[in-house]
Amino acid sequence: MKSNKYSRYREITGLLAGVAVLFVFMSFAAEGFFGWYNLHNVLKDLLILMVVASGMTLVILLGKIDMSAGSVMSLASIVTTLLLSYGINIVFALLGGLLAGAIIGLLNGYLVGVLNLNHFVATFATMSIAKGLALVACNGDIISSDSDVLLFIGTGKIFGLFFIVWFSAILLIIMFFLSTKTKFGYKIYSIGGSEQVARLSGIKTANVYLVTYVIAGVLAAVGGIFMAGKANSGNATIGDGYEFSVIATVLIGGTPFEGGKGGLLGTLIGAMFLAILKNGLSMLGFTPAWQYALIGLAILIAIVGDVSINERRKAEEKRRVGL
Amino acid sequence: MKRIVGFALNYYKIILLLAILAVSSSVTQDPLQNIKNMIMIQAPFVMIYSFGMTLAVITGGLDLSLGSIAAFSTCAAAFLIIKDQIFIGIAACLLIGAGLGLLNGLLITKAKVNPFIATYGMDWVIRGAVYIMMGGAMIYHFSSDFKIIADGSFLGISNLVYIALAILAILMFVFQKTVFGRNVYSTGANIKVSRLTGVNTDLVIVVVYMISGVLASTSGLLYVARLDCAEAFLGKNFGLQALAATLIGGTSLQGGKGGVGNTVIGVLIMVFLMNCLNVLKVSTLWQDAVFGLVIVVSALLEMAKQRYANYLQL
Amino acid sequence: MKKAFVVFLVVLFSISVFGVSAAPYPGAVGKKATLILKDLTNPVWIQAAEGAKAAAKDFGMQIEVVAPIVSNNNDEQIQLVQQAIAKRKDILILTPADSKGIVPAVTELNKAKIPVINLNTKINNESGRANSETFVVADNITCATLCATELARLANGSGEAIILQGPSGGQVTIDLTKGAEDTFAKYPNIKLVDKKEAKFDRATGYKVTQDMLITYPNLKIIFSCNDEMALGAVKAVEEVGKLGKIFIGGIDGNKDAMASIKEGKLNVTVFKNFWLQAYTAVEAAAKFLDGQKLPALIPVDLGIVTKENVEKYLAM
Repeated sequence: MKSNKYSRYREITGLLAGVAVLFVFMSFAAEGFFGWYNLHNVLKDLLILMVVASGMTLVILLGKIDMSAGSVMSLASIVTTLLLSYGINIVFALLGGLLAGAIIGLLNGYLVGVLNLNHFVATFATMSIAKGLALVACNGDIISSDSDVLLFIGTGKIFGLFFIVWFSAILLIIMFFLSTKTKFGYKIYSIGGSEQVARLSGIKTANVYLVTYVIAGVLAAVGGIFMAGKANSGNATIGDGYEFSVIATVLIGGTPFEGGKGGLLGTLIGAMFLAILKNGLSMLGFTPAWQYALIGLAILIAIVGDVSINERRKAEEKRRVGL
Repeated sequence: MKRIVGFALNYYKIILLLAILAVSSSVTQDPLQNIKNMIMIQAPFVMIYSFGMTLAVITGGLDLSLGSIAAFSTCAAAFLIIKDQIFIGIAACLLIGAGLGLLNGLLITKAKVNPFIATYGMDWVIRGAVYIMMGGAMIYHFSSDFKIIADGSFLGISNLVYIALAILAILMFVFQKTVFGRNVYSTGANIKVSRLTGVNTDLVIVVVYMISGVLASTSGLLYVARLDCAEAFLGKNFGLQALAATLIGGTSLQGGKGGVGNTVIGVLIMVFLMNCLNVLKVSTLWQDAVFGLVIVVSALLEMAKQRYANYLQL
Repeated sequence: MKKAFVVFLVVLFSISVFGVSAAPYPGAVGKKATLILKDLTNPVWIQAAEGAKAAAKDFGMQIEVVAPIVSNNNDEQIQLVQQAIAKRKDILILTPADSKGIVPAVTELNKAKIPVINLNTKINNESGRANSETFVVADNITCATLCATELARLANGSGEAIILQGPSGGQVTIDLTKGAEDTFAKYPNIKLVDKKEAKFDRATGYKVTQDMLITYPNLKIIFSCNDEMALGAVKAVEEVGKLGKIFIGGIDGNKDAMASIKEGKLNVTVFKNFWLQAYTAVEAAAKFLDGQKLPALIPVDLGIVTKENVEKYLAM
């Protein structure tokens, strides 16, 4: 067990070194990058990405995917602000947003875990459904919120740090604990390793799928509420395409689609990589056209690098065992 | 009863298609013209790039870079076509499509990157490249010799239909009758086993992504000829549409199953459904939700069909 | 070779000296500005970037033009505002993609005491927490009103109309649709029968228009939220031989659309003059930095382009 964990940390050191190099480079090259104000904002955006990505990490650890994450963000932001605009108490409005995420998550879990639909197909469909519901609910309009509490969630600070930073940190610690120290986390890893073996060893796989997708849905909703807070308004387009960034984050962090390998720590580094890259490129003054090309290239390089490191390690292990 | 259920499940896609058609025809004043629009113009475009996606899905992957390949190859070719170098332009377009597909294939086989992330990363790179190349320009007003490819018709049937059918026929032949086609299916079904049986799976995958790239360029080129304008944002929704059509058609994401024939039905269902919503005057806001529901329902029906088949065998 | 280089240097030097000494707003010289646009991949917004750069050169300012990677994305615009604050810019010119959603970012700018010039789309300041120095108006509601009025005139104030929209839920779509709806509502005989999303995309505009022509055989007016979709609509209408019977209008005024107007296919577009919009906004920024007082509104001429005057716009 211990050596296993050791190798997992070694897996991400390469990426961590990449992030460090990127950080140092941007600090020198990009005017205004290295300063508390900017880094604090980068940290905030990184953590929003990370909160959504941590749910996605659990799903991918199961060997599945959740294409609906971005749409759930839009839906949660619309539901919360819409409830607020009806004069409903902020607590219930926030719960409403989270509930919307939970319901879509439950639907995902049911389709995948109970009905055994292909996970990609099922969540690809719920992606459309959630986006559609958001559009119908807001009638194609942007919903403004006059709530100072929502604004505080998105932009307020406690002891000099953004509320989002505190809240995400707590969430991530819980998620880290859940995925590494609990029975549930163990079940996720074992199902991802081999579903059949897990089932034979008495794990109720359907329940694990349901719970994991609900967690992913709720965390995506949290991300959507953060976005709504940052803008103090709800917008049905806010999560368009966000699921791709989230999936890229998880993969860059070293959790492959096969499942059973990787974890949240890697995803955190993946999120750091993408957030620093995006902020840095923009600060360097690259036009969106160049940013498209460079971000795509960086994602590919990060993944190719990760793959080749892993391949080499595998080959090394094989030699050691004498295969 | 058993017979009826069996029949309904076996032909559910055709039944669904006919039902959609019946609804849309009953509310329009000119149903013939409507069906003609769908079959002769809208479906062929979608079909050609959806075939590319289907082939990638059969190998157990997918191709999210279809749209940007279409944009990049047509924009590059448009520089030649506008100077009346039509044949060289078309050849260049298809070659670029093949080249970009080759890059996808090499990333997947040699660099061992998962197809999802490989083609997604490539999508960003290629889209960025085409934005940089065009720098905000558009190329338009091509000669009629070029436009006739997509605008013209023969015996009252649009050229688009002939092109789509020709591509379909070639793909059907290659993927059902040749060794290469069998290798593609076996690679998709189980890559390790097929490697052990001597199939050069890397080559198979690379060639499939090249074909996918060429098909993306072809449909891009037809769009450019039809709409008389080459621009950098062409095909932003190709990838997701093609994926939806492939899935509705019943090609499984596990790989090794399905085929371009299924996708023809998938595209027709998708195109006719969107048309049906439009002619029924359903608000645009509902379209996403309905679209998602249809994907779920068709996936559930596909599963029911398979379960039923297993049940009959028992 | 060497001589040429020296001459070049002299020329460069004199340009810079005379350029600076001729600067109309001495207070703005050397100041750093950021222009945040909604998009930088669309040709019309690239024109805006060029206009801003030309103005910055004329007034001796340094300008950085940025835009979200995903066009019209509010969250990315918030990040861009924060980056401008981090770079301690002297002034910010902002084209919000979401007039409500940008408010917290503008509040932050106000707190950082960075003046804001609002361009193109209005920042919603109902809360009083998002102040800007001036609004350079070329807003979408006005554009839509202009285009819809011209279409209504062409159709003699009667008939069925549809609107082709950009992505649902986006600010641009909301504003343009509102402008067109309000205008058509003024004509009792014009009936707005449908609004359809065509994603700002020519191919989708073409496809949706085909469906609309079948659904509404008596269609007379197609109002499109940009020129791309309008040109798609032109193609679909042309194929059923109804050009001249159905009136089609676009927004933006790109070159391709004007060429189509010249051929007598597209009926009208609104030339938004993005180049001039950005130039005017940068000039307003320069005036402000020079200590001049700005009016609350600075209108930019929006041109209605029709067959009669298209030559003038094509020559620009």
